[in-house]
Amino acid sequence: MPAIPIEQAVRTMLTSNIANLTVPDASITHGYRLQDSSLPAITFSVDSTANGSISADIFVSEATVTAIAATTYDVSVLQAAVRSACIAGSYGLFFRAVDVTNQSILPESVGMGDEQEPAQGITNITVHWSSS
Amino acid sequence: MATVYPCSAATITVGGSAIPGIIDASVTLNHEPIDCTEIADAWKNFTAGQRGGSMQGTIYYNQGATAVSSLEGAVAGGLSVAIVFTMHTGPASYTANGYVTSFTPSLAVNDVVRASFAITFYGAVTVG
Repeated sequence: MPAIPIEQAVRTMLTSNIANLTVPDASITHGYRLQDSSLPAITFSVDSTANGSISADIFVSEATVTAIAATTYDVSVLQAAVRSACIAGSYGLFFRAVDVTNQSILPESVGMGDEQEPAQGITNITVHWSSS
Repeated sequence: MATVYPCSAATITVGGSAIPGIIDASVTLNHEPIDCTEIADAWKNFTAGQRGGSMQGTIYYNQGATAVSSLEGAVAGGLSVAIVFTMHTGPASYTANGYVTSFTPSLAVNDVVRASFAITFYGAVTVG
């Protein structure tokens, strides 16, 4: 049984490797961000976790990290920081290998009442991890 | 009711060291009976012949693991290895000596380093 949830370890990876000036710790949240919170922000979710070996000592998790900023350019800069942050290391769980498998950007758009919806950058990662 | 065992308790040791991070593995025992059918026989006849075995598997490549470096070194050096292939807890293992006939590290986009290997047994295989 893992010592901590994989979600907590992914958040630790992001907060450890993304400068607080780039995105404050409090703005890196699981699942969603509050609509009136400041930008930029990062949300993440762990989409699946499966056994990676027959003895169940290695796990493989698929996760999505979403960078949110006012403009496409800001998101593109933030996505580079996210890519650099997704690296192997000890985050409460041992991330043996972290692969960025896909990145894409959704540009800012017009939302309800003509307000600007922020741009979003999606980063998909695959994490091979173990608890010891 | 059939008893079903999970693979999570399975282990493979090489020279006494367990292989970590096994992705898949299989072992095969063979028996090649000798055809002793005579021309007048209506049905085929066989007598017990030679037996042998082999195994293969896929693992996460880690040269720092003793068992992995043993497999790699054995194929490079033409050395034999002592194998214990345990399917699950209880008496369910094959013990044999063999030669590593291939060791294949592999790379792929967005993936981790894996290796596959194959071993051909020589001598008796102990079914425990």
